[in-house]
Amino acid sequence: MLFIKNLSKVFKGPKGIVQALESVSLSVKASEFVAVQGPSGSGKTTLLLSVGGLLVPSDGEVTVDNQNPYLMSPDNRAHFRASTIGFAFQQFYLVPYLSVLDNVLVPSLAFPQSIAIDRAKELINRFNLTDRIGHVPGELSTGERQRTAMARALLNNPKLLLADEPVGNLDNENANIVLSVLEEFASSSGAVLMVTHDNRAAKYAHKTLQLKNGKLL
Amino acid sequence: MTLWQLVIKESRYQRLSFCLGILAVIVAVGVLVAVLTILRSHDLQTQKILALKEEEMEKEMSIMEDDYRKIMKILGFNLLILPEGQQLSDFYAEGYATKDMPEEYVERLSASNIMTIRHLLPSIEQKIRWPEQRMRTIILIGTRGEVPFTKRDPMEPILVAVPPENIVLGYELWKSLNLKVGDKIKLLGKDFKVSECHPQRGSKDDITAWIDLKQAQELVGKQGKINAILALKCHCLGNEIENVRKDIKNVLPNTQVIELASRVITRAEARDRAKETAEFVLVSEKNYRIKLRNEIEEFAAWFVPLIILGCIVWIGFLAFNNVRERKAEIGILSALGLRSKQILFVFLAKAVLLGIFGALIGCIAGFIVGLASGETVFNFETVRTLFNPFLFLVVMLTAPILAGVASWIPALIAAKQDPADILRNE
Repeated sequence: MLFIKNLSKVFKGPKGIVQALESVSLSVKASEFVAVQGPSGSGKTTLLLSVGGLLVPSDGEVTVDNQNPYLMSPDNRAHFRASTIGFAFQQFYLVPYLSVLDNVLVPSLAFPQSIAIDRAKELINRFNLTDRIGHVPGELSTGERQRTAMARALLNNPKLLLADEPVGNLDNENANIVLSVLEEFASSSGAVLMVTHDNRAAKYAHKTLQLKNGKLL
Repeated sequence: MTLWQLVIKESRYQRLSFCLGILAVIVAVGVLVAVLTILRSHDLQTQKILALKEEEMEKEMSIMEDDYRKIMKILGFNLLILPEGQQLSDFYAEGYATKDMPEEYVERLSASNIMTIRHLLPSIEQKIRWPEQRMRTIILIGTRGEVPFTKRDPMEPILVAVPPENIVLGYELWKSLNLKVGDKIKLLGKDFKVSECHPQRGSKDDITAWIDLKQAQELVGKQGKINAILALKCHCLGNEIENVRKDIKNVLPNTQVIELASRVITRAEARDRAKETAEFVLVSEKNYRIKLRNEIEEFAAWFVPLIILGCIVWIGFLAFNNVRERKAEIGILSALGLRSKQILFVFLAKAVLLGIFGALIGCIAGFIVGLASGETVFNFETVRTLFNPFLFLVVMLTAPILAGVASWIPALIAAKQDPADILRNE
């Protein structure tokens, strides 16, 4: 599902060149849950954004579902992202003025004429958010927000789920819910790449890789 | 959920910012509509004032016209009947007619039934040298007094005839020759008795000698001839003088008729002058109204664009602020697969939305302000007249476009933002 070959990313900043990733190669098959562990600043988020078609690599190759998103036009890449990749972030990035239902439905905006409301409600029910369906993020607990974000990531039935510290801000109970969902997603022939420095998360992964200073150990 | 729903929900969430945006459009549209309504109201009032004044002037002129007609009827006017071949240029140069016509013409006229002519005075007039008085130049006029109309009751004559062997002298003649009434004098070999001495008139009359027509004809060798018939105090209404001319020409085809300058003409001129003055007042009022309009227009010419420009900048600033505040949202929308043009749409649609709301409220508010500030009285008819559907249509179309233009750059910035950059740095 996901192949990364010699992926490098260099940032040019005012303080000089920063090598965020250096010749990273890995693969995640369908039904596989891979965790990448590493301390802060090790390049985890850069890896995730590069895999997600959001950050053009300085070198190397990324293939998702047999397609290199960086060979596509920006519009096609956006469409590819919407249809193939799901994102879950530590900061949730929920839209503050939208209800739980609308937040879950946001990915459907990428597809004109999309009717995803039943799928959204199904996910909301699955994440035990039915009684919060009309609430805006400001009225939700941290766990509820992350569950909402997870539901949103799964709306379009992605093939690859990218999770950036999905349980970093959660208590054990909520973390277990989220990680169970990721595991469940992987078992239903999805591929999960999770970056985290949380040991709880690593327990659910089929494979755990260590990233340090932009290099896989 | 659709993008429009997203835009509406965001606008409701960011109420203050959205209301400030609407306010900007209301101000811009309101000022424009108000100024245009005031100008329209001014034009309407100008039309009303001018129409009223014109009507008043017409009424006054009609009354004046009627008054003068009555005056003309009382005063009558004077006509001079001259021989057909008489060049008027010679007549005016010499001061009398040089051609002559049969004296019988006056009898023909007196026998006619032209009721508008009242007094007939035939005369022969000629400039001569007075041999007995060192060849001095005088004007000799032979007159037989007034010729009565045979088909009418006799009227009191306005001029008495000079009896034969009598002479009436102008001021300059009797004064310089030291003559007085009763003195005997000789003219062209004939003896005359001075029967009257005229006071000074300051005209050619002062060197004129009046004698009996027949004697004058003999003295100048034009027996049975006259060179003018004066028709005095003719009655005529308005412009019927042309008809009188025609009537005279029917009786005396070989003549020409001219109207002598008279008080009637003077009065007519006075009436014309009065009309001119009234028209001048009307034009002055019109000019004043135009000047006032130009002043409003000049003020509006810089004020309205300035306000609109200010509002555009204001909307642009609000949009820019909106983009800045929604950075994370833009990042996640992009990450979740929204295309650049969809992001652009989210921001432009908001601008269009506030443009529509603002234009609608601004149109109504501006129209009410324009009505209240304008010169016309507030009533249904005024509202109906001042309401300009075309202006409303243009404003309703233009305001959302301008709001979109104002938000274009911030929306473009939003669409071009790198989601990875946002998500990494948030």
